[in-house]
Amino acid sequence: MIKTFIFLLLTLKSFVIEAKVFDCQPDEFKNSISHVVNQLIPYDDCKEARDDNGVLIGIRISKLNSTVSIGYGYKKDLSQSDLVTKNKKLTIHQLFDAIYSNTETLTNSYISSQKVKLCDAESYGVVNQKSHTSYFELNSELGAYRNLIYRVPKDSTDQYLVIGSGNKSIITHILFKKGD
Amino acid sequence: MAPLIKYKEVSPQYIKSILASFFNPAYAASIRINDNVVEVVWEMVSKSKECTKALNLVPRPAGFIPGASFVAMQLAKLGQRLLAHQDEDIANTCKSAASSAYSTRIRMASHGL
Repeated sequence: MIKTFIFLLLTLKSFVIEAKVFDCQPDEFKNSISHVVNQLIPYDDCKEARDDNGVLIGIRISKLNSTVSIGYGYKKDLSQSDLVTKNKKLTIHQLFDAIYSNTETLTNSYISSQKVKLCDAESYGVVNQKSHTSYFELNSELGAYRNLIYRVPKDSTDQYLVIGSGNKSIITHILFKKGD
Repeated sequence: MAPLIKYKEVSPQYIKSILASFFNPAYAASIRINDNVVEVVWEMVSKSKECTKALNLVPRPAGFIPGASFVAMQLAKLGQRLLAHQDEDIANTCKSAASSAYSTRIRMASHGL
């Protein structure tokens, strides 16, 4: 009897834990990138995922065969040794600059390995860099996305946004027309 | 933790050891392993030529799409080595495959996206 109860409890708990994906909430994406995308190219589907505490993890927008992923990244997710160079501990923004800028001299083994990887890409480095936002075109064979935007929100010390897609048109619209 | 259905031949523990080595242990602990996570981890690892070479993967003809058993076996091999702390060289070589874009993709996959 007790075993059956525990089994049922665990089964119910697993349902609760797995129910993480929802349709995008209108209130949430009023000022978000998904709203911007929808203004530009009305999408077919928008899903968002939340953690156990209801904190937004990411959004996936789909239009026919194109998808745009918007993920929330955190400094603590990275290996801390990757954020340390010989002379200083890097902020998220400094780390991204060090990896993707051709002129930045800060380096460590992680930064240099990422640079080597980028050197093999069809189009290397930052295509456009505005304050706190960098856009890259990468070879999809070498990265998680073919088109990638890193955005560090103003005043953020540890959070950043990764916006990735295979669709260059959508992603450049986000960056150049409505993305600020 | 969601069960592995397609990739049941690899222990979630091995996937966690790969994540801990490529990112950090706290990040690995926060990820729920499911089939989608395994697929993104495999994509991350297999895109690194140096890593696949270090793992002595069997050369594959162009266009070859590996089956679930193959993927599970290769990731189990890597996870096992990293867990046993036997191959720091492999960890360092394969780490070049990791990136902040993959850490967010894996987190999203972990939550069902």
